[in-house]
Amino acid sequence: MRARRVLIVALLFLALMVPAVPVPVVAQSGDSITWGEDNDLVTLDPRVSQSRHEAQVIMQMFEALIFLDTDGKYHPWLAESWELAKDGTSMTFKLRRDVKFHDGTPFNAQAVKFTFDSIQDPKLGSQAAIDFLGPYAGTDIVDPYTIRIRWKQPYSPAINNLSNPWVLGIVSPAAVQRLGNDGFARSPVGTGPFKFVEWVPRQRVVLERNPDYKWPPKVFRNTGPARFSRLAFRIIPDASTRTAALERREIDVMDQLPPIEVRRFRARPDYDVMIGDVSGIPYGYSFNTSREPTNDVRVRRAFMHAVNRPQVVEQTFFGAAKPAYGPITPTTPGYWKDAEQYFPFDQAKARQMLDEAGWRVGPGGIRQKDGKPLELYFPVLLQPELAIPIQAQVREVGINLKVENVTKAKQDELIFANDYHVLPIRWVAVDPAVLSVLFQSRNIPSPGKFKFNWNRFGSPELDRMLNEADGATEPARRARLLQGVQKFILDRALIFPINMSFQPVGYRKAVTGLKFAQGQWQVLFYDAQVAR
Amino acid sequence: MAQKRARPRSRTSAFARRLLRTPIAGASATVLVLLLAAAAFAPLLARYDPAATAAGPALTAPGGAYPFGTDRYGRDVFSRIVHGARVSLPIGLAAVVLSTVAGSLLGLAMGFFGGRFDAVGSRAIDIMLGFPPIMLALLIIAVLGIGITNVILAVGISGTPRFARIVRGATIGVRENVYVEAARALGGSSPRVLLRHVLPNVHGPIIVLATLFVGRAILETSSLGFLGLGVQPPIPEWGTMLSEGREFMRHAPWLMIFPGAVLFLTVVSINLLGDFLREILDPRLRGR
Amino acid sequence: MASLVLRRAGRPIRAEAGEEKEGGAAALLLLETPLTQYVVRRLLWTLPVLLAATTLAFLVLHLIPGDPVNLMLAGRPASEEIRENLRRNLGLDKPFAEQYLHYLGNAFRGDFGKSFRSGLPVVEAIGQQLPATMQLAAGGLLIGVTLGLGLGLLAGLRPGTPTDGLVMFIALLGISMPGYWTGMLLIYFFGVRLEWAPIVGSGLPALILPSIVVGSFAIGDIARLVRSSLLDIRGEDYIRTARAKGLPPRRVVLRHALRNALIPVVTLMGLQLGLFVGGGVITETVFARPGVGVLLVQSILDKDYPVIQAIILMTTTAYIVANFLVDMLYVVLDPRVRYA
Repeated sequence: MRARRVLIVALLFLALMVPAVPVPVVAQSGDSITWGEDNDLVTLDPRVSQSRHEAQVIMQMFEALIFLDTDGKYHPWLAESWELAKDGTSMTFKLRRDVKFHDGTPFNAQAVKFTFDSIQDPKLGSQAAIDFLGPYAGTDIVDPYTIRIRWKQPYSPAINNLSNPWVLGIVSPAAVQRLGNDGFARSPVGTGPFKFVEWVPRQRVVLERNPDYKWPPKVFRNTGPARFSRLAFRIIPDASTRTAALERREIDVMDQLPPIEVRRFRARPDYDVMIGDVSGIPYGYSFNTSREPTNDVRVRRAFMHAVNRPQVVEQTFFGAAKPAYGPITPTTPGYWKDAEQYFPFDQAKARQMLDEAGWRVGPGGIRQKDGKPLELYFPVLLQPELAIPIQAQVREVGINLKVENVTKAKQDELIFANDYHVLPIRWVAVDPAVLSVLFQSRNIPSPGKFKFNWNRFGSPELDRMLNEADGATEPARRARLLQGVQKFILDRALIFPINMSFQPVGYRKAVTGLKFAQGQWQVLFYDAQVAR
Repeated sequence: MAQKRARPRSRTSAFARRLLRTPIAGASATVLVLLLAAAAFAPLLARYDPAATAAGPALTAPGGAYPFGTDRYGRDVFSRIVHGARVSLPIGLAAVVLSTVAGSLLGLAMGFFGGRFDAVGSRAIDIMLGFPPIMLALLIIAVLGIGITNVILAVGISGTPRFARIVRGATIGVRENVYVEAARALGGSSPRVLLRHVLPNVHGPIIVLATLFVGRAILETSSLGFLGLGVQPPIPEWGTMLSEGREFMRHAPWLMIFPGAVLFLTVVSINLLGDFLREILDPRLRGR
Repeated sequence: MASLVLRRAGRPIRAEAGEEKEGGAAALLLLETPLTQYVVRRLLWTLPVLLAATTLAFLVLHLIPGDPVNLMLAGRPASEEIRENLRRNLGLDKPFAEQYLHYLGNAFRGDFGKSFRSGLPVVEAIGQQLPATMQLAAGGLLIGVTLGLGLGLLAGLRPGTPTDGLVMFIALLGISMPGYWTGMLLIYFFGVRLEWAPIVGSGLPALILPSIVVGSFAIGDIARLVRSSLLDIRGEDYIRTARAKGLPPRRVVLRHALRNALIPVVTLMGLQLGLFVGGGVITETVFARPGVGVLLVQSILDKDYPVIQAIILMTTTAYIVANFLVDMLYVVLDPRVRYA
C-alpha cells in the first residue's frame, strides 16, 4: 500500500513538470512548407527592419509598388504604371484598385502616403527604409488611386528602392493605428499572398495563404491564391542541425546550407540546391580609419596584400563562393571591372609597406612601432569561419589580428563605442546607391545611432561624389560617377572585399516553384507547390 | 592530537601501495601523467604549429602524417589537441585552485563560527546552488567579458558555493571534536584554531573535492568554449574545437570524435582518481 | 528546537555524512512539532530567501557594463530627447535605491517590465519558452530517475560484486561526458546514421535524444546516491527487524529500503531542478531547441536586463518551491515519521 502511495507522490511530482498545454505542432502535410531560418527576428515591420532574416518573412506578406525581377526588369505590382518626372525629383504612380489588405481594408493612395510619411517619423525608428526613401520630400495624393512621390533632389535609386517590398512594402494604415507601431511589428498586416498567423520569438513564424490574393506581378505562373495553405519559418540557428532537419524532412527548405553540403545535396535524387549570386556590397572587412593603426592607409593596404583571397575563399567555402574585389558585386549595376586589379596577393609588398610605415618585426614575428605591437582588434559576427585563415595569413607579414567571436549585441556596443579596428560587413541590395549606406559621412555611427559607415571615413569629397552619383538620372553618367566612387574607395583601402555573398538554399525536390527575390538572398514562396 | 598528525604520513604510503594495487586508479593516473607530459612537451610532440592553416590538405582523414586528421583549414588535429592540453588543463586547474581556496575559507569560517554568519552565508549559497554552474559562469562572463582570465574566474567562482557547502559540513563535524574544544578552552584565537586544528582535519574532503572539481572545471571551460564564450581563436581549446567540428559531423567525424574523446578521457581519469582518493582519504564519503 | 528543524528544512541537504545525521535528528524532532506549525514556518522562511534572491538579481545585473538604453534602441536612430525619455521610462534616471524599490514593487505584482530586445512583456517572453523547457525537464527527469534508480538499486543490492563495479563505472562515465558531446554523438549515430530518432522536429519523438542528454547529467548522481543510501540503511534496526521477521530479502528491499533510498533521491531532484530548467542550455543549443536556458544565454549576451532578472527570480523560486515540496515529501517518505 505504502509503496503505491510513494509511487503516486513521485508521479505527481513528475506531472507537475509536464505542461498542461502541448507545444503546437507545425503541420508537415503536403499542404504546408517549412523554411529553416538561421537567425532570430526582431521586427516584422518592413518600415523598421534592417535584417535580411526578417526580409525573408516580410517579403511573403508585403508588396511594393513595382516588382523588380532577378534579371533587373521592372513589372507592375501594386502600381499599374509609373512615370518619372523629367527633372528626376518626382514619380507618379497609378495604383491598382482591386487590392485589399489582410485586415480587409482597401489599398489606396492614402495607404501609400501613410507608409512613406510614417517612415520619416523618428518615433518609428526606421533602420533601412528611411535610407531607401533617400531625400524624400513627401507624397501627394493626386486622386484616390494616383500618387506622386517627391524628392528634395533628383534621386536615381528611387525606382529600385520602391520595388523593394522588404523595406518599402505598403502597410495597412488601419492596422498600424489599431495596434501601434510596436504591436504592428509583432502582427503585421500587408497585401501579399501570405498573411500573418503567429510569431513565437526564437522558435517560429507561421503564415497562411491569403485566400483573396489575385494581384501578383506577371513574372509568376500563379495568378490566384498560393497553392499551399501554410508557410512556416522555423528558427534553427545551428547550420548542422538545420541541415540534419532538412535531411530528416522536418523542414522543406533551408537557407545558408553549409558550403560543404552543397555537392552532396545536389547529388541526391530527392534534394537540390539553388545558389543565389547576391548583389550589393560583397562580404568584406571594414577598416576603422578613425583609430590607430588602421588610420594609416599603408597598414590597410598591407593587410589586403597579405591575404590570398582566391585561395582563402575557395578553401573556406569549398568552392561554393567566388572572391570579391570591388566594393559592389559584379551583379550590381555600375560595377567597375578594374577593381579586380587591386590588391593582388603579394606578401613581399605587404612587408615592404609595413616597413615603410615604420612597423618593424618584433619578438614572435609581430611587428612593432614605438614599442607597441601591430595588433588589430577584430570582433567577428558574420562568417567567422573566414577569420581563421585570414588571421593566419596576415600573421605571416607580422600583423596580429585579434579575433573575437561576438554576438550582435556586443558588436553593436563596440560600434557605438568605436572600439574595433576591423569589422566584417555585407549588404544585400540591388541598387549601387547602397554605397551611400556604407560610405556617406552622415552614416558614421554614434552612440544610439546605428549606421553602417563602419570605416568612419568622413570625407566631404566622397560625400559629394556619392550624392552626385545618386542624383544622376542619365544611366551612362551615373555609371561613370559610380566608377569614380569605387576607385576612390579602393585607392584609400577603406574596405577589403573578400567574397561574393552567396545564399545556398537547400530544398526537398518535392517542393517546386521556389524563386529568388531581387538581390538573390530571399526566396519567394508564392509560386511554390508541394507534391503530396 | 599527535595521533591525528601522524595519520597523513601513514596514509601516503598506503596511498602509493593501493594506487599500484588498483588497476583502474593506476590506469587513470597513467593517463593523467601522459596528458600532463603531452602538455609539457607539446612543441616536441606536435609536428605542426597548432594555428598553422594548410599544415596539410583540408579535411584529411586520420592516418599517416596526421594521426587525428586535419580540420577544414588544413590544421593538424593532433597538434591542436596536444597544444589544447596546455590550455584546457591549466585553466581547469587554476579555476579549481580558486574554488578550493575561496570555497574552503568560506566553508571553514561558516562551519567554525556558526550563528548568524553561517545562517546568512548558507542562505546565499543555497541561492547560488539554485543555478546550474554553467549559468553562474555565464552570468560572470556577462559581467566580465570574454577572455582566458575571465573564463578562469567564471568557472572558479561558479564552483565556489558547492565547495563552501561541503567544507562547512565537514567543519561542523570537526568543530564538535574534543581537541578543538580543548584548543579553544586553552585560549587559542579563532584563526589560529581554524588553521592549526580544524583545517588539518578537514583536508581529506577538500582534497577529494578539489580533484573531482578539476574534471568539472575542465568540462565547464570546454562548455563555455563550445558556446563561443571561452578561449578565442587561434588558441586551440578542446571545447572550441568540438564546436568548430560540429558542422563537419558527417564529412569529417574525426573532428568531433578525437577532441571529445580526449576531453572525456581526461575527465573520466580525474574522476576515477578522485573516487580512489575519496576511499583513502575520506571513507565517510565513499560511494557518494 | 523548532529552529533546529527549520534550519535543516530550509537547507537542501545533499547526502553528506555530517549533515545526514542532522537530518535524521531533525526528522525525529519533527515528531514533537505539530505538522501545520512546521509547514507554516517552513513557508515563512521562503520569504527572506526570495527577497535575497530578488536583491541579488537586481545587484548582479547592475554590475554589467553597457548602457541599456543603447541596447533597448536595438540600433535604431534616436535623438538625445528620445533617449532621455527612454531612460526615464525605464527608471534609469532615478537614484539606485529608488530603482530598487520600484523594481521590487513591480516584481511583487508579477510585473517584470518589457524585454529590451523583443518589446514583449517579460512574463510573456518567458512563458513562450517555458513549455519547451518543462517538457525537456520532464523527459530528462524521467530518464534520469528511472535509469539512475535502476542502476543504483542494481549496485546497492549487490555491493562489492562485479555488477556493482560496472554500474558505478557507468555512473562515472555519465558524469564525465561533456553534455554537448553526448548530444553530438547521439545526433550523429541515432539521428544522422541510423535515422532512429528525429533531431529537431516537434512533439514527443523530438524529445527523446535531448531528454537522454539532460537525463545523463543526473543518472550518475542519482545512481551513486541510491546505492550509498541502500548501503547505509542495510544496518538499520528496522531492516534487521524486517529480516528477522523472515520477510524475503527482496521484499525487505522493496518495502523498506527502497523508500528510504528515495529520500536522498528526492532531495537531489529538488537540488537539480535548476539544472533541469536552466541547465538545459547546452542541450538546447546542441539540439537547437527553444527554451528558458537559451533565452537566458541570449538575454545575457543581449543585456536584456528585465528578462535576466525574471529568469533568475523564476529559477530561484522554482528551486525554493521544489525544496519546500521535497521537505514535505520527507514527511510522506520517511518511515520514522510515518511509523510514529
